[in-house]
Amino acid sequence: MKFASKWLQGLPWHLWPLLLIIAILLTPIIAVLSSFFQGAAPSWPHLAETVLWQYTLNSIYLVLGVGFGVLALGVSSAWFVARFEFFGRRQFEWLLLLPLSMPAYIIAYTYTGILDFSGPVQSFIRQTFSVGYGDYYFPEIRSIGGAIIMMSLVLYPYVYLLARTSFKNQSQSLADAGKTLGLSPWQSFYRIALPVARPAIIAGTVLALMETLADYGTVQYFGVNVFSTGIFRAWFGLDDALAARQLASVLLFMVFALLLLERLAKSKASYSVSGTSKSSSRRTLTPVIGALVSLGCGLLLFFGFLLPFIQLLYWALFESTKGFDQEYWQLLGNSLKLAGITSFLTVLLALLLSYSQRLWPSKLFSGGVFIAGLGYAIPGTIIAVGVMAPFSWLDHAIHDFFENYSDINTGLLLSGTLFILVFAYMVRFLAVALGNIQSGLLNIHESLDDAAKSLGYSPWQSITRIHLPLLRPSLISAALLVFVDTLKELPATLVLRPFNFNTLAVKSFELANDEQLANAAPSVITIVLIGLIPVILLNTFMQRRQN
Amino acid sequence: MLNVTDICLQFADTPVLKEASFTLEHQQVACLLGESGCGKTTLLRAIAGLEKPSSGSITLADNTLSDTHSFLPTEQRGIGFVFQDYALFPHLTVADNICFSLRNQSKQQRLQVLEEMAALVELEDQLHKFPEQLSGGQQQRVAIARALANKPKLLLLDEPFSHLDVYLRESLAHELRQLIKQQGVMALMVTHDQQEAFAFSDKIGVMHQGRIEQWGSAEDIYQKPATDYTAQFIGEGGLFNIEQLPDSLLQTLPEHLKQPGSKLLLRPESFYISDSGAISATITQLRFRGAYQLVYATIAGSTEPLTVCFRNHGPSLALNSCIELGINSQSCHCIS
Repeated sequence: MKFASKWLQGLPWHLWPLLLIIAILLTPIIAVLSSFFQGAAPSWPHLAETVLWQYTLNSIYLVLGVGFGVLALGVSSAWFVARFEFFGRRQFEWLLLLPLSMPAYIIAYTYTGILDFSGPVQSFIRQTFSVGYGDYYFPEIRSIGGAIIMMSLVLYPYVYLLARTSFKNQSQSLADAGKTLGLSPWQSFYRIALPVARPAIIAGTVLALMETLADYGTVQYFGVNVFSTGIFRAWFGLDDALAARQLASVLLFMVFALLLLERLAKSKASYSVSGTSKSSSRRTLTPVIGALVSLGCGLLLFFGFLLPFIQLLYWALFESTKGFDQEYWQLLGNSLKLAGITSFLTVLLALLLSYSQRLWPSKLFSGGVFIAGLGYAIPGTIIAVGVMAPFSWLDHAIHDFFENYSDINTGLLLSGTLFILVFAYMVRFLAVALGNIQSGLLNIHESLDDAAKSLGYSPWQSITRIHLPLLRPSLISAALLVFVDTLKELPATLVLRPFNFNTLAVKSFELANDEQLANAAPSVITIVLIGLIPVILLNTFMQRRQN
Repeated sequence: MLNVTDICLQFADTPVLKEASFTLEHQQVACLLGESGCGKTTLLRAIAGLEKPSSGSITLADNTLSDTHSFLPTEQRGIGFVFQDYALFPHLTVADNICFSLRNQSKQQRLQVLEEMAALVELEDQLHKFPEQLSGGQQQRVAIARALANKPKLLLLDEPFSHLDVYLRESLAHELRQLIKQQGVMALMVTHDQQEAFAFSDKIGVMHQGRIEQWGSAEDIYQKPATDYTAQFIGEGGLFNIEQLPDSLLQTLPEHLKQPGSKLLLRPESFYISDSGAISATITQLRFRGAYQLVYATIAGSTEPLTVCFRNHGPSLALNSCIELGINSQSCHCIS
């Protein structure tokens, strides 16, 4: 206690309300973790006997498979794009980021449509070879292997992006030093370039694996039993909220393990490269190898983005019976409204938190902000489960209070409202906004504040005349990223949305599950198109930094 | 022996090296000295095989490294290179960095070399650390130890002191010279700093616009510069056309310095204050240099006034006062 009060004494009063907000943002995580101390849930013995092992094993398979997939695709493409010159290299540099705009569940729907029994590929095989159902072997896309391929195809850009930057920024003299010490080009790759890029590669892989654990749409659609689907089943199938939270906390530990891995990789070495040295130059490949590399990058782009995109476009324009009807515009309106509100509030809060951190440095507060930023690592399913419990408790408390002291029947005020949904989004996406704004603020050196002061500006004036203009790019990118992430979010929206309130993501999920893939296409392709915005933004940002 | 003959090299049609030539003898230690952009680093990289010359040849101990027909890849040249940013591998410890080129040797041999190198650069107690935990000077010594570990015939150093404090450079350059001499290896360093070059080298190559203007000892290039550029780039003083000199000065000079159409290099030590001096001058500028005053004085004459400089070790002089100067003709040099 003495220890805590010593910490709190130094804390300026302005920070108290912000600390309170952080505490509220943490309630979902606390609600999930606290389930561990509430004894075994009613359906726990049943779960342990039947599916728990399956959840665990499948989750591990999925993580290992996707981990291998994104490493292979991401590192190899990054290596060639960063260090070699080949046909189309400049275009591939940004084109290879495009799959990032496809949520995994969307690419899963599309490939199912293409590769299913009634899809074009199998129909073609049956017609050409005059064979019928069961006469030929065709791999089942709706399997754990299929899920691994789908997720690897859209998640490899995380590894690609970070590895590419690292390969590119490695000082030319490192490679030269390798040569003077007798390394062949291949030895130079695995003895210097790869180990030096290792922290970046691990960070990218961890990001991809977090998305893998957070995924609900793909695994649900493919019928692969993992934790995120198990949480839903325990809650809605077995009606056991405690079991759902306990499953969620197991998943949370897996996420924490990944986070720990990333921290470890980062702390061990964030090999900084001195600013004066030249970054690595490109080597030209022999025509044959160059053509193979171009082909490889082309295939990656084709399967990760072009093929599914064309299929979606075809469905939306020619096969959808509903097309862009009134319901579509309503869905779009709902999605935009929700994403707009969320991104405004989240950026505002992030701005408030990071500014307070800058103006009144305090270890306790910074720790709080750091923890609040962990939300991004936490799957939407877990946040949904964690948000429900405290809010339903609060709702009942309010209801009981008014029932006891007055005749007013408040009903359940908050449950099933947009308020809860937006709150859940904020818990999840605050980290995105914080990251952008904090790095933007870091670039505004304190000497600028001092210079403004010396030129007669008050702190407020220097905020409007110096900070805001300098911070504008970070604010815009923060708002955009939160906007798009909200728009794509599936599991939390599915659980927490008000009754009969649909968004693009939710509706496409429902239609896909009803085997109406073509009718889902207009919504799906909208999500992909909006998802392209941050990818383009990211790319222009990277290019500008190079110049 | 390192032989560099008529090396030419272009970067995208811009010539960077134009027939650069020199010879470095066995166990000699030399510098390439020049302003930034003169091509000195490119020449060093060409010797290491990191750049490919378009013509000319490079041979090391009778082995052809590079000529019109052949080009030996860097990794087969066995030349040690110390990079400007040291290029230490950040993922390896100091010990692993030093032993990097020894991977084909037995563990025992590696340990022996490591011990020897660590003692040489005095880093015995830092071997387990990572490069980022070391100071700039320590990093430099790791880079040198790493480059020397495989016993190369030739050590190349690209501005090795540029990341270190200015006041340390001269003494470090001297220490480095001792260390390299002790190893009995040929060395070639690139620098833009004269003091560094003087402290380090047996021979200095002054480079200008892709050419070696002069290859010689420090004394040679200071006292007997071969070209106008070298005369003006090295040391202090002025270079004047013979025809431009005032009569009072001209009369005091011996005949061999007065060849028509040639130029005369006057260093600060070419002048001394003397009551019996024949040259009268007016002091126009005074620079305090601690041990002495650097004095700029104008000599009037039939032609336009001429400003020369000299060192005054005596009592302070006053601005605008008139003095009489004598001349040391031994420290004047004529460039024809």
